[in-house]
Amino acid sequence: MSARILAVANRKGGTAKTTTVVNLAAALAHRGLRVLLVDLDSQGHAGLGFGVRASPGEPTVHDLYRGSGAADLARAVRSTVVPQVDILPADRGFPGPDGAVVPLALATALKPVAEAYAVTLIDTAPTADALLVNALASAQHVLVPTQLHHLAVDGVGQFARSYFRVATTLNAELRGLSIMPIQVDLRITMQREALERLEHRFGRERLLPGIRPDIALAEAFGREMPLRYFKPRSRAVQDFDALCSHVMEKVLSI
Amino acid sequence: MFRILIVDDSPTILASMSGILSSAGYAVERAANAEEALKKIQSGLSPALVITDYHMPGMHGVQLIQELRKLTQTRFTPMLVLTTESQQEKRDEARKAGATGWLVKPVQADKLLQVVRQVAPSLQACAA
Repeated sequence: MSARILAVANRKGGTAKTTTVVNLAAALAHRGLRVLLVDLDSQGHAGLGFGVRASPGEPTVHDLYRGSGAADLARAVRSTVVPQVDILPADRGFPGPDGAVVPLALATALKPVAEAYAVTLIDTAPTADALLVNALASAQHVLVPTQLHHLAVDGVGQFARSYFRVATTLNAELRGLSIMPIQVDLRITMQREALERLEHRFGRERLLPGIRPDIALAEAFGREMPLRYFKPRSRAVQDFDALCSHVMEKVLSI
Repeated sequence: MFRILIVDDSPTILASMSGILSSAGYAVERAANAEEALKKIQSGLSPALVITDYHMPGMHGVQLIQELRKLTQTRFTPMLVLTTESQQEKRDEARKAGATGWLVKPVQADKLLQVVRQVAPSLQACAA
């Protein structure tokens, strides 16, 4: 079965999860696919990457975790600067869930909304909390961006345990985990060693094409648009296009 | 009305694919070559999905996709390439040109409908 809902996750912070969601969504849209972003990280940075902010009182994906949790996510969907990309924005003032979180709350509410999109990408916070479980319980595949350093293998290993726990208890459709190296510079010995260890432990087939360092990726957030609209010839745009092709063929099976 | 534009120089393939898609409730527009497809779009047709043959006299299918990606109304449209080729290099060429995916001939009805639903799921609700 091909995946249609992908979570981008890693318990470690600063691994370009939001950068990946924003720029992969833009690349998929440029191949003709309609994409829904779910900004489950209450920092709301995926929304900012597309110039979208939910004002206080406007519906957000975090309404699922308030009161009865009976939120209608279709009401929260917002269009973005990219015609083929819509977003379920975050509540940037979200203080945390009211009470216990139903593990399948997002999966249940998202399903009818996601049916109108070829791909749904879920951005997650760098935590191992109930919302991460919600994201994994909704997805068919997980992309794990990681830097190539000595802690990377350990960090991806820790995350993989969460992945397998959800895949074996909550979500039988969660069938794939891919590792995406970021800030790749294989002239650095440490990076080559980390890559070899990731290949050895998780298998070469789980490794995605990497993204090279490019300061333009950070600059694009200042313009509140994906990098391809700010510096279309930058090397990170090329890298995200290569990643997009790989994801379409190997993960989405298109 | 959301329409699927099929571009192929073979009247037989145009007829068979149109028949499959029409029977499934989709509205279909046909063009016998890339130039005719471009003319229809420049005259106001705004297809929700384009399926184009690869090998055609004149402009071939991947060149057509490159041209369509430059036009405002088809910049983000899903586009599938019909080909007898299944080699990786042809697929890579199509991807670089902006193709969403491809269908290898001969295309079976269930495979065609599966791929259409996959790349353009919102069309389902709009089908006549």
